[in-house]
Amino acid sequence: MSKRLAWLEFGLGVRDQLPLQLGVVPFGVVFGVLGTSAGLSSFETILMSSLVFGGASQIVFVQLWAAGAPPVIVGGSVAIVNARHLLYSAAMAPYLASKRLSWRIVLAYLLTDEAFVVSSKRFQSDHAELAHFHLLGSGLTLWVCWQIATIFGVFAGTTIPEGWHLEFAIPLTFIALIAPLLRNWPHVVVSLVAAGVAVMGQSLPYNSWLILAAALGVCVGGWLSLRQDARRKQERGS
Amino acid sequence: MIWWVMVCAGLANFLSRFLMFSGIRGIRVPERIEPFLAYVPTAVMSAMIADAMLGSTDAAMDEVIVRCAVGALALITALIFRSVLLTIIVGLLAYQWLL
Repeated sequence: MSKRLAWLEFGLGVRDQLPLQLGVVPFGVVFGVLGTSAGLSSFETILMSSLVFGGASQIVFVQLWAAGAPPVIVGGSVAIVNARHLLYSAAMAPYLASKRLSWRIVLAYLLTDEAFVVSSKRFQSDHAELAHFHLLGSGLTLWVCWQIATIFGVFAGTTIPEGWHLEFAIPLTFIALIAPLLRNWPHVVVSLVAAGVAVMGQSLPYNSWLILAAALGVCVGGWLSLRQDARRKQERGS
Repeated sequence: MIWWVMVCAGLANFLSRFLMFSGIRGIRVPERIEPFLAYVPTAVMSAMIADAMLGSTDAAMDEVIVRCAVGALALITALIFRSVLLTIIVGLLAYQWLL
């Protein structure tokens, strides 16, 4: 394996991840502000971005902590919000299971929503053999930006006018990420099902609407795929 | 106390990302499930987008309408221009302007 090709792949991961930082950085700043205003010290807020390293779950953590929720509920809610990563982990398993343990540990730590969407395409391409370098570049870029944004939010976040609505950058990033997939009709159906369940399931306990919406969406998508495959086979046979 | 909760939350987070390719015997993805996994990003992100647009029960109706309109504009921008950067810029500017 050529070192030059590996570095090239790493660089591509960085390049593909950078545009998304326009959505990630404001979110990190918002977390920095929320953390300190929820009563965490500057050090605790900054360190949480390394220890937990999960945007939505960190927000849930500080909100519940500020509301005085018991530690079991705080930890459990974070785990439930992040349970979607099990699905990412499952999707990456065919490609990463054969890598060295040190690689698997580092890549698992860096496997966020954005890194998964950006790099999983690379694993499905002709470049699959070196795609773990792509994921490393993409994940590391996000990690560095997330830490810097949190530090900025902690120390300078209160100077940002509230009217800027930085928190809205994250759903916009997600829209940009899934839009190319929506050219395929089963993905459109999956998107509508998951969105519908997410809205209707808001009253469910412990943020479980997310897992339910994802699970139902994935099941519907898988069923549509299997039906499409069966129909194609039938057409070829007749 | 907060340190313990943070460490446990971090560990739970890491395990959720690591478990399926951890190499632990017995934990692996069944072959029949693999075609389903292509829909994971679409399902998870659509749910999170819907929550951000419509989920907050304390938001005023006007604000919800603006969020949905901006979301639709961002989607159209992303489909036409295929640019993440442009989608976020257009969305943020439109949200600022309309709200």
